[in-house]
Amino acid sequence: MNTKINIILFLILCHLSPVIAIENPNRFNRLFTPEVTNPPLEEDGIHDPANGGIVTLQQPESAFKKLDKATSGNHVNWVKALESEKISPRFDLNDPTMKPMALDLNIVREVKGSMPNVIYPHKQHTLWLDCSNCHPAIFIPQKGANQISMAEIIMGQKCGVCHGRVAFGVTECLRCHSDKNKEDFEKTNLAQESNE
Amino acid sequence: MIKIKNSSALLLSTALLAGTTLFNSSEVNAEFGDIVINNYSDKAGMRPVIFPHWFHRIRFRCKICHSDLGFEFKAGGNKINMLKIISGKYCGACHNGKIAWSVENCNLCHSAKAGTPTQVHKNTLQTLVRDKKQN
Amino acid sequence: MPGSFSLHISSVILYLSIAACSFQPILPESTEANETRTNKKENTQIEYEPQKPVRVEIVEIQTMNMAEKPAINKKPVKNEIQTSSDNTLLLVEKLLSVSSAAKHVQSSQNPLAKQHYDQAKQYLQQAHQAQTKGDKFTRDKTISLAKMALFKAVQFADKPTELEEKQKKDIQNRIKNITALLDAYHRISPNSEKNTLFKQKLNDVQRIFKNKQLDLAEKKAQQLFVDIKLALIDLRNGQTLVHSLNFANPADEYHYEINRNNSHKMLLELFGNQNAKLVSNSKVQTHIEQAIKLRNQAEQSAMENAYQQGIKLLEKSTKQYIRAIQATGVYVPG
Repeated sequence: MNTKINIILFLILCHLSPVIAIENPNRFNRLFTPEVTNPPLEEDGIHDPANGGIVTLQQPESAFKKLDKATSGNHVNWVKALESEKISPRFDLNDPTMKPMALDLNIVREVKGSMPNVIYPHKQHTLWLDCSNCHPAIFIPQKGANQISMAEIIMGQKCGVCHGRVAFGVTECLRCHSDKNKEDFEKTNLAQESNE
Repeated sequence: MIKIKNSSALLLSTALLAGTTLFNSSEVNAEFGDIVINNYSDKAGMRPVIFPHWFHRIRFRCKICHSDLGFEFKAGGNKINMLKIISGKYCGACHNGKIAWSVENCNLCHSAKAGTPTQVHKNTLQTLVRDKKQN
Repeated sequence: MPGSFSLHISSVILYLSIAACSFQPILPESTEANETRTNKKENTQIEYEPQKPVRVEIVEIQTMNMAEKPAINKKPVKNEIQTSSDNTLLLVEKLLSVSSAAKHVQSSQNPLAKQHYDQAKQYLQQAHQAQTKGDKFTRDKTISLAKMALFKAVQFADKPTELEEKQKKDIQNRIKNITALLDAYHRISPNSEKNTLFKQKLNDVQRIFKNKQLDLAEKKAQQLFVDIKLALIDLRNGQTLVHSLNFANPADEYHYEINRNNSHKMLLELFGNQNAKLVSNSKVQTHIEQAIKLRNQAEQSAMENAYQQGIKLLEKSTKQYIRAIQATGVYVPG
C-alpha cells in the first residue's frame, strides 16, 4: 500500500513539474521566448511519430552531445567540430583515408560603414566543399565580378545559398565580419589614393 | 496518510499525463537544415521524405554529394524517384547495403507527416515569415 | 509505523528534488564577439591588385517560394499507409505498383527484367498469404525477397533516359567549372605553359562529349578538373586578396547604397521580429519613418539623375535603420 502511494505521488509530481516550474524573473533576455533546441524526432513537428521506422533513427541530441556549441542553427559549431577532429567526415566517397585538397586563400571585402570588413576564408570552406560547388554557378572567380549584399544573403542568393539554409545564418555577424584591422585598412587605402 | 483507491489514482495520473502533453506546442521545430522532399510522395500516397543534413554532415563532406554525386542545391530540385535510387544514383550511391543501409528500408526515409510541403527547414526566409505571422 | 513514516519523508524529499531538477534555467547566450578569423600571421603576401572595377549587372532579387510556404500543411492527407502501425505489406505493394521503378520495369522489353518482376509479384502474393495466416516471419521474409527481385529487375531493364540526361548535365556542369577555373588561371599567370596544355585537354573532353562517349568524357573531365584545381592551389595558397570598394560611376555606387539600405531594412525585420513589443516601441518607429522618408527622397533624386545627392540621402537613411536596430536592443556598430 505504501509503495503504491509512493508511485502515485511520484507520477503526480513528475507530470505537474512543468506546470509548477517557476519562471526566473531575472533571466537573461527575458523578453525573448526561449527556443527548445534539438527536440527529439517525435516532437519536432515534421517526423510522423506513428511511423514504425522512427525508433531506428538517431536522435540529434545524442549526436551533438560531445560537439562544441553555437548560438544558432543546429546549435553546433561545425567548423570547430571538424578542426578538433571530433567528427571526421569523408572527403572521398570510396576512400575514407583521403585528405582534403584545401586552398588557403583569404578574400577581404571592404564594406561601407563601420561594420568590420568581411574576410572570406577559402580554407574553412574548401575543407567541406569543392571548387565546383560555387564556381562559376554562384560566384565568378574574379575580383569585382560579384555583387554581394546582406539583402541577397537573406534572400538566399550568393553566400545565402548555404548560409541561413544549412550553414550558420545571418544572426552570427562577427563570424563573417571579422576583419579587426579596418582602421589600418582605411588609412592604407587613403595613402594609396593620395599617391596616385 | 492519504488513502486513495488504486483505480482513481491511476486515472488521475493518466489525466495529468494527458494534460501535460497538451502543453506541447504544435510549432514545427525540427533540426536546422532538415530537408523535406514532397515532389511525388503525396500523389503516391507515401509519407514525404526527410533528409537530415546534420546526420550526413558528420559522416561526409559537402563535396561528395554536391559535387561527386551531382545533387543540386535545391530542395526538390533533383527530382529524385525510386528508379534513380535503385539504379545507384543520388541516394542510391550510398544506400545500397554497402556504404549505408539498403533502400529496402522504406520507413527510414519516408518518415514525414503526410502532406508536409517541400522545404528547407528553418531557412532564413522561413524564419522571417514565421516570426511575422506569430507577431 | 515509525519506519514507514521516515520512508515517506525521504520519498517526499526525493520527489521534491526531482521536481526541482525540472526547473530549467535559461542560460545566457555566449557571445562570439571575440571570435575572429584573420590569418594574417600565416600569410606571406598581401596583394593590392590594380583598381580595375568591372561593371556588374545588378541582379534583381525575386522572392523565393519557400518564404511563402508554411512548414506544416494545414490539411494533411491521410491514407492507410500513414495510419496503420504495421504497414510493411502496403509499402511493398506501392513499390511494386505505383513507384517509378515498377513503371519502368513494366514498360521494359528485356525478358530478364520481366522475369524478375513477375517473381517479385509472386513473392508479394506469398506475403499476403502469410499475413492472412498470421505468420509474420514468412511475411517479412517474402517481403524482403520481393523487394530484392524488383531491384534485380531494374538492373536488367534498359538504362532510363532520365539517368542519361543527368549524366549529360553533370558533364556539362563540369565543363563549365573547368572553363571558369581555366579563365582564372590564365588571368593570374598568363605566361604559363600549362595554359595551352589545359586548353588542349579541355578541347579533347568536349570532342569526346560530342561523340556521345559519356563515361569516358566524365572520367577525363574529372581528371582535368582536379589537375587545374591543384595548379590553382599551388599558385594561390597562403595569400590574401583585398577587394576594396571602387565604383566606376555614381550610378553604381547608388545601386550599392540601395542594396545596403534594403539589407538593413531586412536585418531590422529579422532581429526585430523576435519580439513585436520591441519593434512597436516609439523610438524604433520614429527611426523607421525617418529612414523611409530619406529613402523616398533619394529615389526622387535618382530619377532626376542626381546620383551623388541620392547616395548621401541613402547613407542617412541606412543610418536611421541602424539606429532602429540598436533601439531594439541588438548591437550593431555605426
